[in-house]
Amino acid sequence: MQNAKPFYQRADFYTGVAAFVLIFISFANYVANGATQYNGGRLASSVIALSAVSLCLLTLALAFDVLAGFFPKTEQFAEYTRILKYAVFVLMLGSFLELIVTETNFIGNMFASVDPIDPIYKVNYFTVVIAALASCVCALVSGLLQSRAAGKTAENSEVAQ
Amino acid sequence: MKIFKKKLWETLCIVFAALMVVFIALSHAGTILGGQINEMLGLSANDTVDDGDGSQKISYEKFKTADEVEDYYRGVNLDVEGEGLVLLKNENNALPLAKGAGVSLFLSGSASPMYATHGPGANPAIEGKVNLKTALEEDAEFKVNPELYSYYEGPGASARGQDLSDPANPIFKTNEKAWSNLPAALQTSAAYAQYGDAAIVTVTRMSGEGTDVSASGSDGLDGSYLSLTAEEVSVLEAVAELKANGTFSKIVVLINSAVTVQCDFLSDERYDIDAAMWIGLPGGTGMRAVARALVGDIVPSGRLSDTFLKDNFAAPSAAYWKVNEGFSSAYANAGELGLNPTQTYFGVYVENIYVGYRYFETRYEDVVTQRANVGNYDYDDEVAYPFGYGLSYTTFSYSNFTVDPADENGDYTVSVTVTNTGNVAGKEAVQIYLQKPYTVYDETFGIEKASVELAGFAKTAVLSSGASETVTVKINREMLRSYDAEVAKTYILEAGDYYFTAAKDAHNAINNILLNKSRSGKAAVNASSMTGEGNADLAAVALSQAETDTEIFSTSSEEAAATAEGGAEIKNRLDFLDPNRYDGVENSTEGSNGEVTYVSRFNWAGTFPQEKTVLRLTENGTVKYDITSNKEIVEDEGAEAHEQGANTGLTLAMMRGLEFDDPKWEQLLDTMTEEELWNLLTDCYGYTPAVESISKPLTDEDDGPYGVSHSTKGYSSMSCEGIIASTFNIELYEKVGEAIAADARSENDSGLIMTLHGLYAPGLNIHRVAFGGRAAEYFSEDPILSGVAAMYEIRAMQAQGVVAHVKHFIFNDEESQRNGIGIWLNEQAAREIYLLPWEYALRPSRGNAHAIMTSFNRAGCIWTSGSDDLMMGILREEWGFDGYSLTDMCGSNGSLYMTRLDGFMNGTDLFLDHSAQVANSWQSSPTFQNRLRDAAHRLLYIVANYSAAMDGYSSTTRTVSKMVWWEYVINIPLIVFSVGTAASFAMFVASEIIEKRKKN
Repeated sequence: MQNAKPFYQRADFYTGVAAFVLIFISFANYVANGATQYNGGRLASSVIALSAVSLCLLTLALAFDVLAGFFPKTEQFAEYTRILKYAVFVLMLGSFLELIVTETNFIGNMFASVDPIDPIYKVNYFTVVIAALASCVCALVSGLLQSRAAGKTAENSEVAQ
Repeated sequence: MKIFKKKLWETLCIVFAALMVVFIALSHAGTILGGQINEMLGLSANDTVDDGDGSQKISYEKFKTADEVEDYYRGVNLDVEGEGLVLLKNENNALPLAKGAGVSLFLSGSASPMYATHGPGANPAIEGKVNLKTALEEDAEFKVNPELYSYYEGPGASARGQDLSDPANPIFKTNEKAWSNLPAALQTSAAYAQYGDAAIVTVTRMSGEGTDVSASGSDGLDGSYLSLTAEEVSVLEAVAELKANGTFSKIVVLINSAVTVQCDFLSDERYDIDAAMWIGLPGGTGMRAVARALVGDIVPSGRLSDTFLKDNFAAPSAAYWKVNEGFSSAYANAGELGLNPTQTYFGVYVENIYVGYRYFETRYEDVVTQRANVGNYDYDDEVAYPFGYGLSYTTFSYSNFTVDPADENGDYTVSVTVTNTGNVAGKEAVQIYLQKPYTVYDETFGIEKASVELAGFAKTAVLSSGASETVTVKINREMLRSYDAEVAKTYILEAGDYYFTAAKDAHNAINNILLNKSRSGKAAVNASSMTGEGNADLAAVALSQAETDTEIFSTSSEEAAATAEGGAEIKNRLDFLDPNRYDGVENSTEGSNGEVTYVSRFNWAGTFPQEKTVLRLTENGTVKYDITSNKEIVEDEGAEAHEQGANTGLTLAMMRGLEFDDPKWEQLLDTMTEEELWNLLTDCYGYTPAVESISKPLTDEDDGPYGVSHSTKGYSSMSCEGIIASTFNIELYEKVGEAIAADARSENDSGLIMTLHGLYAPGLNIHRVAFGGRAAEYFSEDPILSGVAAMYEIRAMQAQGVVAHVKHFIFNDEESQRNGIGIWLNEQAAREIYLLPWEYALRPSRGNAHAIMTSFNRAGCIWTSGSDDLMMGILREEWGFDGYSLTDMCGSNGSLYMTRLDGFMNGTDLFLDHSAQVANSWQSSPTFQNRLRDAAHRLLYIVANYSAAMDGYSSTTRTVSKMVWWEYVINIPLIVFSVGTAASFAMFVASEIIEKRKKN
């Protein structure tokens, strides 16, 4: 990974951070406000698990990105953090879809409401869902940018050799 | 090697993984919603295999084709509307109008009336329905003013609907246009030159599920949705002016509403209204009946199923609504206790038993007899048209009124001769009312007695002018009972005189009794304060009870006893409903002493609702336990777990005809696997699932108190239940049940295809207040009229193998905050008003309905379905109800408190929800497992013996599950993408290793 830019100069790092923040927003909001009368007050374990694992994996990926700037020996691990980001993309895609599947009652009520729905439920729900989807996109973009940067670095290395 | 190109595999891996996740999610959705998807797509996840003759039938098919069903349905709708519409006013015989008259139709309801309510009441689609103009032109041969009709048909004339600026509190508005908004040409007399025989003004109000109609904030003159708006007044005034100048000969008002419109305007001289008719919601064909009634082809014989008021807030239930700024209020300490939204709200039925006419006629009697504390009350200022009221184009006289003593069955025989004294043929609805004695004992212990109660009724045949018919009505002595929650704590037969009277309406009934009492010297009557007519000869003492009998009604009656193995003791079971008997709640209104003030005839002036009721939950263990969901299971002594999935070879068809307690049922229950048992009870979103191990077919159900609500057929809507009730015609109640059930079983024009095996019908809550949103789905303010109508309708439905799911059990009489609202009332009101119609619907000797749907609300702090006292004690032990119970849509908006655990442990059998969302970890409890088996037993017993789904099922019939096409559409790609993900990841890893090796 010679000639690679330091993490703070790389777009993939910042999109990764953005993904982390978005996952946290989605996760925290879901845990705090997700239990409603439309889902029996039960949070979906799949959403919790997928989001929590995503947070862990992304933390690991970003940590290696940062550590690589200070400890060159860890560069060989940083080379593969994009795989973790892809995994986060897949997991958060799953989380996003589960947020829809497990909330079909609420979604049904939004479209064909029989009883008035408290608007705060809608705000919370859309915050969680949009943040999950956006985090998923950010994680994918971060992985792709990192992959492209790694490719260029490799080409540069070959040219230099 | 190009095959190991790392980038390619990396990309493919991401794409495959993403697609795999998408299909996993779809698969999950299919698991949750599979039953509903199949129902929507018309698919079956099971095949029926039969090597027998498949000839067993448990239901009859009266109709052979869908066309026959449609013809019958339309005919019944016409008959019901024709006999149910109520002629309220007919000055100088303004009606009937002459055929061929030129008429002008005013207000938006003339062009866009309400045929049925939106929501599950009936099919609200307009297609195929007969509108007012068409009906008037075709059935009355009227010439309808085309310009005026075009205006009201146009987009600018009506925007009736809800103001949703505060989504949590929608406000119903008429948005009717004022006279000044009419095109200038329509504001002149010239516009009506050829259409001046009558101005027909249609006053329309909508209502529906989920929201009560607005008592304030609306565009009605008094702020409510049910009073006239300034715009409607402007039109009525202008029409009256046109009548004054000779443009119109007559003004006729049609009231098109299931909720009771405030009728003060009908007698207001400013509007000079000649005639008025309540037409309710007429359904698909009913407008033809309206047209025929206007020209006299139908002679009105409907009688009001609710009291129509001059001021809707005059009723104590509505007065509570007014002083509390709505029906639902939050507990004073809801915030401190951290209650969730389904625990926060309450409403109190402070009116006690005085619902509808029971209040107005009782207070009237107390004015006439000059009881103390009657307060300032003028009957005529408050009541526009009493319960049971209705005019005809002819007149009837009553004579030869007799009451025979009770026979060995306890039946009194009441008879009266009805004579048509008018000039045209017509029918008469004879109503028999009862008065129980109101005694010092009652005053002392707070037992309430209405001055009159409907006890029975009958409709004559069509009587030609001068013809007579002697009508006989049997009234069981059980009707004489009163509930004493204070001393005897059961039903009692009090000492005193019990009167029966034959009357034309509730007001006429009390007048008959008052005059009879006055004549016999049993009451001092101030004749000058009487209003309306009465006849002492039409009232008689049926029973003079010497001493109060506290035993006679203290156990469940014979037929209930037969199923309840000896009969259950009838006792106080509902203390938890009454704030004055329950220690978990107190009234924190200043000066209340912690107790709720119920309306009492002992002191009308002092008990009529005048102050806000503020309830506070106490913090003791009782309330914490009661208001909390998922209560801990208390194991039954000696409860043993059952091994599910036994190979017994039994199928459901083999159980047909076996007694409920036959030991074979236990073996059948053993046959189901745990998963089948769980799914059978919890995956019931409009159906009950097929069970392969016992060859139970899927049963399909739909909503539809007065019509199949998801039907695509335009005619599939009967008149609203209020109109059905107001026919006072038992034969028509049966025909309604027959027509609705036949429609439920018929699919399309290609022939008679059995589709539905159950209907969530009829609705049986009470019109306790004018603003109740679902009035269209319920019959009446009166429990007897409601119960009798339901009873006959249910019998006819079930005869065709369509299981009636009577709803909503119980106290779901309004919609405000219905998701968990706590309803508080005393046990006498609960039993004598709200539970009574259910006795008619459910008791085996009466309606014998095989299923009920429970309600969203709580009874006090406890969800109704989670109350053992209601679900087991009253329903099954006291009444001998032999069917199953289904929740309302707990998955949609009530699942926070409508929990499996609380429901199953207390006698609820099925959940209108999807099973996959709930873990079934409770099955580890033997007691809980036994409750599940009890629930399945009740369901399977009904399906085996009464459901049309079992037609053709014999002992050799097998139900075999299969995959449906959409499952292949999901599962095949899922497998492909899963393999693709694994393979591409492996290739990526391999290419990475190779690349590394190359570098090294």
